[in-house]
Amino acid sequence: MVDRENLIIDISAHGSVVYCDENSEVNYVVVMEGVTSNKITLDIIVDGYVSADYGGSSLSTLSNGVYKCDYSK
Amino acid sequence: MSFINIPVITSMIGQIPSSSGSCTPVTSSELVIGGGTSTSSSVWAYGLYDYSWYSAIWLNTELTGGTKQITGIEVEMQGYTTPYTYNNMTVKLGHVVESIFDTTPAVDWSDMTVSNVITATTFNMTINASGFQVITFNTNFCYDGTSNLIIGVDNNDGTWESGFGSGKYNFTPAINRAAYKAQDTTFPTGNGTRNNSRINIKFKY
Repeated sequence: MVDRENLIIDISAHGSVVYCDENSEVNYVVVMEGVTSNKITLDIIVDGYVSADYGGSSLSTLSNGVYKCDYSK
Repeated sequence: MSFINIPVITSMIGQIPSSSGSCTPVTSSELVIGGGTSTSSSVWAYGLYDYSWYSAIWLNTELTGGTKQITGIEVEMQGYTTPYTYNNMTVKLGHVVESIFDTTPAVDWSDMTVSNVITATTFNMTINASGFQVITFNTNFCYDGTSNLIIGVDNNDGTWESGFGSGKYNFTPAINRAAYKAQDTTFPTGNGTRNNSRINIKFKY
């Protein structure tokens, strides 16, 4: 199970967390605004928390300070 | 003696305009292509982003039975928190020479040889349950029975929302026969990404 509380704490240092939770039965989504770090940094942090439970495909983008990632089971 | 020119009005009640005046009659048939169990959030519409675009190609060898007046489609989607609505979605169809997308598929199909393109419908798509979602056209498409067929869907909702699910697809026979692009703030332009995620579909004709 994803340690949501600590994931939010860790990524909050890099921007404002808009959404960080299970999006549906099969995927986990993180959305942040005002991101001050680069995409790779956030990918590594999120991956460390999410990939064990959602080991399927993943997609992430960082555009105009908005970071979005979508992990599937 | 003068004549008043009175136009002849023919009732259009119950008739749906088609893309051509000489189209095969509707036969209340359906053709199912797909049946795969793979899933991807980006297939058909990507709810994680404000806007998205998705296209796929079906070969003439798959569209068996000759000419068809396509009156609608059904696409298979699953995993949505219901009800989930994509507002302002547009579906368009055309005949296409190519059988796959190139490595940098243009959002507007400008890199392909496409003809007879119609906008079949613009509508709000509400998903109330997993399974095939019915899309009835306002303008039917006259499939010529020999060309490949391309279908595109523009998701012009303008906002993202959690609870989005996935489209279901059959990976193997659709290598590079699907493409998409998604982004926030404005509708995507330029080039998308091609992949094998061609959605399971039913053609109604």
